[in-house]
Amino acid sequence: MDKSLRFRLNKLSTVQPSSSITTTLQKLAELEKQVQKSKEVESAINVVVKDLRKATAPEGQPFIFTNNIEMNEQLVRGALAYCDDVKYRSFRVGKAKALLVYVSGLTDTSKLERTVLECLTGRLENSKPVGDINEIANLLLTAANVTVVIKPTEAITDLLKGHSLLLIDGISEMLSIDAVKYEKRQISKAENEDVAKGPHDSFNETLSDNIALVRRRTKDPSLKVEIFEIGSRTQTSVALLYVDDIVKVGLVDEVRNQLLAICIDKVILSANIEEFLIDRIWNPFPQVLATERPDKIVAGLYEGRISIFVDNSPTAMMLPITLQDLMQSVDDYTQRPAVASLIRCMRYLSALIAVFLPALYVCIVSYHPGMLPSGLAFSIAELRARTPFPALLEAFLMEGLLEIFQEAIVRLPQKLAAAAGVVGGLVIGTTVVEAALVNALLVVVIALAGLSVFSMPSYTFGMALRFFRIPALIAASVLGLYGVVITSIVMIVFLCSLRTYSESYLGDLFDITLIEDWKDGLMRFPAKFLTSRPKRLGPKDRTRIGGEE
Amino acid sequence: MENLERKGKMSPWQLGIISTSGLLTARLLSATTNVVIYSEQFLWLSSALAGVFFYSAAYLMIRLAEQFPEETIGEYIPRLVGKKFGTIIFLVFITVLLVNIINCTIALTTLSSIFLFDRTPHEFLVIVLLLAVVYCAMQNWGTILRVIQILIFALPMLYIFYSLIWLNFEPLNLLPLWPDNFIGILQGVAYHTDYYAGYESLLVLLPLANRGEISFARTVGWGFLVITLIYVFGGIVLIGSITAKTVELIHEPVIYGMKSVELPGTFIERLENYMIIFFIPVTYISMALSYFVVAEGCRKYLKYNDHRIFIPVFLPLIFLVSSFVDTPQRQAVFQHFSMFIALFFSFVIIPILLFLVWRKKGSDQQCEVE
Repeated sequence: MDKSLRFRLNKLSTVQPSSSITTTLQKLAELEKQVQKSKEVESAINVVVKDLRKATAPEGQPFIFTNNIEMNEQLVRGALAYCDDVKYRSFRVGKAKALLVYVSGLTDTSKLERTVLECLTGRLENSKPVGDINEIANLLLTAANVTVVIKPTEAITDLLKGHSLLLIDGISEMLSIDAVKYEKRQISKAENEDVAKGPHDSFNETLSDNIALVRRRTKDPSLKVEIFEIGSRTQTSVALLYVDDIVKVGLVDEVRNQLLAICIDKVILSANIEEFLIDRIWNPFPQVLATERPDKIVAGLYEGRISIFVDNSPTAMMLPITLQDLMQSVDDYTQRPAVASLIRCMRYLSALIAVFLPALYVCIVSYHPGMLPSGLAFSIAELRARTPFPALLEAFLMEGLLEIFQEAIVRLPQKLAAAAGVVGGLVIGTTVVEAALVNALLVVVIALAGLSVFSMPSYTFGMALRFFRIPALIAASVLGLYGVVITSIVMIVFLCSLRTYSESYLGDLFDITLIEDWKDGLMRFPAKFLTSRPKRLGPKDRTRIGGEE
Repeated sequence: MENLERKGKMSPWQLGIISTSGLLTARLLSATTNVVIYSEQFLWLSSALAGVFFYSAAYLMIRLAEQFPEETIGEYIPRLVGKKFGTIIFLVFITVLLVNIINCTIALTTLSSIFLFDRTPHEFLVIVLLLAVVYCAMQNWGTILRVIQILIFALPMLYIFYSLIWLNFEPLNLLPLWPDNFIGILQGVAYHTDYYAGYESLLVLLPLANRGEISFARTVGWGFLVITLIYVFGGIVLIGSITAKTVELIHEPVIYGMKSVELPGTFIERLENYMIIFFIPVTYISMALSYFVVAEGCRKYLKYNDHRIFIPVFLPLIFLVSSFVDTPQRQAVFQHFSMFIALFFSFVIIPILLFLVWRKKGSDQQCEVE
């Protein structure tokens, strides 16, 4: 060291220039660059390795399993890199090393212990070699569902479904052990389709539970269940249910082909599938019946329909459907036929009210007040004199308020929804009238139209009715009654033009060639008259009563 | 998908309903005045005879079409009379139907502009109605069949309102019961063209019907019978309520008759408005059906795959003529033209064609025997 610096207090960088902050920072940046480069090299090597593995692997597979368990473990780890929920448990089966791979949260670990670990670790001596994979599966393991897997994609998919993979040194195949267990919602009461009489259980988000709910209601071997995996990434299970000897010829093939043709990365909701099944995607009317009631599905299956279940979705889809199906409720079949028929007629009337009542109000008030009795016409004129807006604007204002209330109530938690209903219905409803923004009669009209929508058994159908209220209102304001009648005719033409799997969307409604089906359409005849299945669905076997002794 | 194939065809009964449902339109409102000028209080008798008269024309058309099953008039006419005459006859057929659409448009929009919208431009009402008709005619036959079967329910409703005129019924207005003006009654029959226009569509619709055990002549005959009964009772009610003299003097006698009806103690007032509401779908059926038949006829004649190509072709023509014929004078001239061309087609061309078919058939059989 320099003598002049010996007893002096100096900055470190003065003594050692290489330790200055600038230099250190420079070096750090260089180091970061190197690290980055090494990462790039690593990923490039990984890609090359992957490609090399893929080149040697069969077509469609990312790699091929080897006899070496360490190599296989590396391959699985590589495929599931950064998946910390995947667990690896090493142990010995006799002489050989073994590895159990499972996803925590999707697998029943206690079941794995009982049916795999206890069986394999206790039964073979340490010096004894293991036999072939089938011997292990058939003689040693006590798990109910064990399959031999060769393809890596199959193994990874099984693993992510909740199965466990068992890898054993010296064997290139592996075992997929079904020990699925995950948190799920219990079967509970139907929230959106509650009935007064009749069963209360409803579907949940688990596909197997939903299929079991249907199976529990029928012991018919003709009920077929086909399961497909849809969604290139989510690999969601989708089940197709039908009664083989009833469903119309060609219908299952068509639906199956449609399902298999769906090319989508994810299937989260049943609606994701629904949109691929319908032909007119801008049509507001539902062309598939979504229900959470197993009894409705079973009834539909025995009328010759097809049902589609999507894993993780609590609603099942039924098709083909007609307008009548959307207007029927399970309660119709638990009530006396005469009462049920009356209620059905009321529903059809409600549908008309839901679409046309505000439009009729606007056109009568604006163009044809003479159609009203004098007393009523005068009182309406008096009410309207207090409000500054034209009838159409008033109606739109009230309609807008109603839509906002409905949306708010649907989105809010149940406890707050009641409060919001009170605020909306009573406070704002009364206030807008008192503030002379709208007249009281219009509030009644819009409220009645809103209530009519709620009386629809199908929520989506009700939404479609809400949608058509707007063009009806506009037509009424422009062309009065003439406009309303023309709009209703155009709507009829539109409904008549709709097809679901080549069947008319209006079903047997006013179709004299399907007069046999009228027994369970607008009216509901007693059960003993419903001797045959609906002709409109073209079932193979039409006999319902008196077919077999 | 066997059901789909069936939807494109109709049963003989459906044919009966469809072909006769197109007869009743708002045209009868103004046509009544023209008929009463000749038949006076025997409007009902004239209507009954007209039913037989026009059914005979429809029957001849059915017989003609039965000689060429699965073919429309545009397909077999050139074979029968040669290409040149075939084209002329086909054009006359298309004109008859287009004139029917135009007449319906005029009748309905005039009615609406007088009783519902006195300040709305006539052209606006015309275009709205025509666009709605075009939308229906653009659909396939299965859809149109369903539309007609639903809208036909407006017919009984219309008749319910119409029958309210009974409340003002005076039997004395129908006297004398024994007709002494037979010539007038027969003249009135010819003026019933507006009452029974549209059955010409049978010449295109018959191949769309399944041949069953019941003959088409029978089902169409039942349809004619129902319509004739409606007209006969309608005539009795109208003359009995507002007298033949009043009907002669006013332009829309049925609406006038409805205006005079009062239902005390009920909510319903201005019954004529309700009646117009039900006239719209009833007339719409006839318009959509005729429009489809025109397009389908052209498709078959020109051997196209889709009838929809021909729908927009005729729209400007119908719109322009309907908008132009907006005064009572022009309407009267146009009505006369439509009456003569319809009668000429039904009672001159069709019998000649049928005669030619029978003669050809006879000579063919003779050749076979020889």
